[in-house]
Amino acid sequence: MERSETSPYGTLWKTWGLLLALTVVMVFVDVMGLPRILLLVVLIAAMLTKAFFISSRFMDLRHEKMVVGLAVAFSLLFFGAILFALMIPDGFAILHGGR
Amino acid sequence: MTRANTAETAAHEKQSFLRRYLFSTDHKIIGIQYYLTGGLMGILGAFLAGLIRLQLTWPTTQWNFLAKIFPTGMEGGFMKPEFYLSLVTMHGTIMIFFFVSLVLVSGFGNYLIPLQVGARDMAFPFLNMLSYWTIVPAILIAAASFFVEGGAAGSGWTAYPPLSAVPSAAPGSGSGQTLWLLAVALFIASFTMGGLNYVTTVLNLRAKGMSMMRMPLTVWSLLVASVIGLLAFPALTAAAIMLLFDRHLGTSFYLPAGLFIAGKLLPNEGGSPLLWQHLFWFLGHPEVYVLILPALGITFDVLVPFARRPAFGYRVTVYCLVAIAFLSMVVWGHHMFVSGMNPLVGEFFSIGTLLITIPSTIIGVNMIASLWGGKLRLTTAALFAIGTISFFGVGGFGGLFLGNAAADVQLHDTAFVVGHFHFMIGGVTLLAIFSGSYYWFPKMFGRKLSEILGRFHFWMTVVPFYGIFATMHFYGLAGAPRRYYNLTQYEFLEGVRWMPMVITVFAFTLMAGQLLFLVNLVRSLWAGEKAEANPWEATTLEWSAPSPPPHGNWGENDPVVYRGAYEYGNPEAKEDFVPQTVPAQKVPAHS
Amino acid sequence: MNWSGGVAPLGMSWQKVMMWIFIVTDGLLFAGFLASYGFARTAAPSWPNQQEVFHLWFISLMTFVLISSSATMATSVAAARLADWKKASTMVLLTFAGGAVFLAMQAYEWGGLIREGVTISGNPWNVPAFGNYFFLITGFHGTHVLIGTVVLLTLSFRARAGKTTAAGVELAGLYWHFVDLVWVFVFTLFYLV
Repeated sequence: MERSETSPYGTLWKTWGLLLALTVVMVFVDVMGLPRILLLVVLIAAMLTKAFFISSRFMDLRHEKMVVGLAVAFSLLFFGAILFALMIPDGFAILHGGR
Repeated sequence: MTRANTAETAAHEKQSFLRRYLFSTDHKIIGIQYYLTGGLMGILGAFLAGLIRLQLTWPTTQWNFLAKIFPTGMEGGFMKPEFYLSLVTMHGTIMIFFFVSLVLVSGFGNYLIPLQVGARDMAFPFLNMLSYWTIVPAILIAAASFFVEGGAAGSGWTAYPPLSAVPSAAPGSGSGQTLWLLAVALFIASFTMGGLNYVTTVLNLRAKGMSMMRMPLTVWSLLVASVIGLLAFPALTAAAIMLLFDRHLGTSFYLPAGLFIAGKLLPNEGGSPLLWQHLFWFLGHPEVYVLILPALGITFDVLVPFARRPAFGYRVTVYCLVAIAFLSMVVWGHHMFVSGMNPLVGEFFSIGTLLITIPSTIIGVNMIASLWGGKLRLTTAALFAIGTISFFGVGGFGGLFLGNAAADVQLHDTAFVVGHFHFMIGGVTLLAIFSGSYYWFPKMFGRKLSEILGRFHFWMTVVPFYGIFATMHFYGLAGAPRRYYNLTQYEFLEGVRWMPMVITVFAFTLMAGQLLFLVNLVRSLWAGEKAEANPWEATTLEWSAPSPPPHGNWGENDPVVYRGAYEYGNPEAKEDFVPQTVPAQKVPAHS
Repeated sequence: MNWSGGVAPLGMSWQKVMMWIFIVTDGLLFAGFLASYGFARTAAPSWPNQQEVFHLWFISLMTFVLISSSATMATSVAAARLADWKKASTMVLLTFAGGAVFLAMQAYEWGGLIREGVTISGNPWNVPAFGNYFFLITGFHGTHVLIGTVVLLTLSFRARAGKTTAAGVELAGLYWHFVDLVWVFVFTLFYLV
């Protein structure tokens, strides 16, 4: 993999700053008292953005073949989500029916 | 890719017996270790099955000699109900994790993958050695669980809470269940280490010219199986940890409020047994494909050289393996149709399950078509491979019924299910283990197994197997439930009272037939007909190494591959097969 | 990508491939825990208000520490690639320090909650599942951090002695960033949502 001649440290500083800023925004939004759905959307979007930058800049996935990052992200997000999604109907059934 | 290191090989010669055979990092030795260990556990699993058959067929007979081996469980010569539950639990657990997975995936996988892709060993041989030595305590713990207070775990290999989560619930819910969880956790660790090696080796260590589409189907099936195993096992790890917490730390992951067990109202609240079911089956379903896919891959590898024609539909088979693997990860709910799930969710799982039949059928048809127009050499290995197709088809039919959520409500937890899954993960896999054994024994030990003993072994396996498990389908249709320790007390089963007897007779015949295999194995190790490097005139890479291959497999030079895995009947070749290492200048490549 | 054999198709050493696959499996373990937590939360009629139970500013500080340690780790990998072993070793040591501080803060938080009556089996708000999942998930994450700190401390000394390769530092870095990644999800889903 070719690396640019400029210092790699610059990107790392910028990523660090971005991650910290996102964290602050997330906490702020949390205590602000938004309607539930909107809160979830914003927080999850921010969370995924942080995850993206950590993977791509810190773990250097940006410089690997794209299929690596896609495979890792897909495996984790898809299977995590589908496990959760298919358990949710039972969760609601318990909530409403006390099963 | 390193050249042969003769200094390394020389250093290997000087190793002690312990380093060379016991704690070997050579994939071939590790493969054989797994095979033998798994084989021993298979014998134990079969013994447990024998006990189950005795109880189901003659529940009122006094078995005094068994009371000597199991003084608590068979007190007075009569089986206690909790002991029966321990038997079915441990039979299932041992057969799935410590027999089939060990022999088929770990045994054959370790032995064959580096040889078939042209590598000198796995990517991380030390980790490979660790993976075997992690299994050893696992099986010791599983075996020891029979002798702790309360006996072995008794909640089925599926370990549903609350029975498995409350130590005081039943005798089998005590230490036996904790040891079960530890054994399974160690198994998962071992499998993960192995899986890491398999995938990395196939990705990175293939020889020059060994493109993905030139790999034998055994390797493809093991790769795909490893991937889904790696993706699915963590959910069971998570589940097992939470179960241990519920059992010993007072949590309520799986325990709802209001449970009254062993005379006490439990303080737990907020949990649900459904959580365990989801997590367990998220692993449980892909697990059975981890077991069956390598069996299918091996079947192709055995069928093709004995049909002397290329595999039919190699590329499509690869795509089907991948399709089955992906689908298998999203249909786990078909084990939970009777849990009261939302019918829409049930439909999702049902449709997904039935979709799997499409690639599965294509693979079965491709197997049959791989025989079409071939010049059949019906060796024992070939017979077992053909038997695999038969079991796959017949057993697969049951899946069509069970995958339909409405029909499953009637069939769930009956002997129908037991018949179905024994065909798939007990039959297809068993026959693949045998066909693989007869096929690769010469490579492993430089001698052939006896064909005569093999033929008897074949018929004494396939016929009784049908007798047992086809009958069981009908027994289940008649309404016979599974995991019940005495079915003779129910009037509604009066008309099918003869079935358990028939099953048992066939079962003991089946077991007797396996003695032939054991005798064959032991005898052939010393007195078997000597075999050269390529006794079956096969094309895949392992046959271009000596029998048995030395440490490092290939001697001085790494192999180079010029063609696909199944070039038989190439019209431009002198012989009816062209090994993968023959350069394209000598014979034009057809794949 | 070259799939023809004899080359690494993903352009990665086998060690890196293995580390990434391990990260996926370990990540799925946490996904299992988090999905279960999501299930339990859906089924629960009430859930303690995180803003009252936790000191969010303190947890945010913990997040800041861990993210910063990830940044120092990435810096050390960059330095190692440039063979600047002094900088690499120092950065790894800083990463270790960040991990250690995180663990100390986590222990302090645990102590505070336990004093308020939150145990693994019960709590003042009568939602046992809250304590169950809190200690399970943060406990497992903390254990992963602890293992990481041990690795990092060792690595730091070896780097200073010139006994590591850039590849080795990178592998350790991948593990550490994974630990940070898990925290990103835990922080959001357990403390904020």
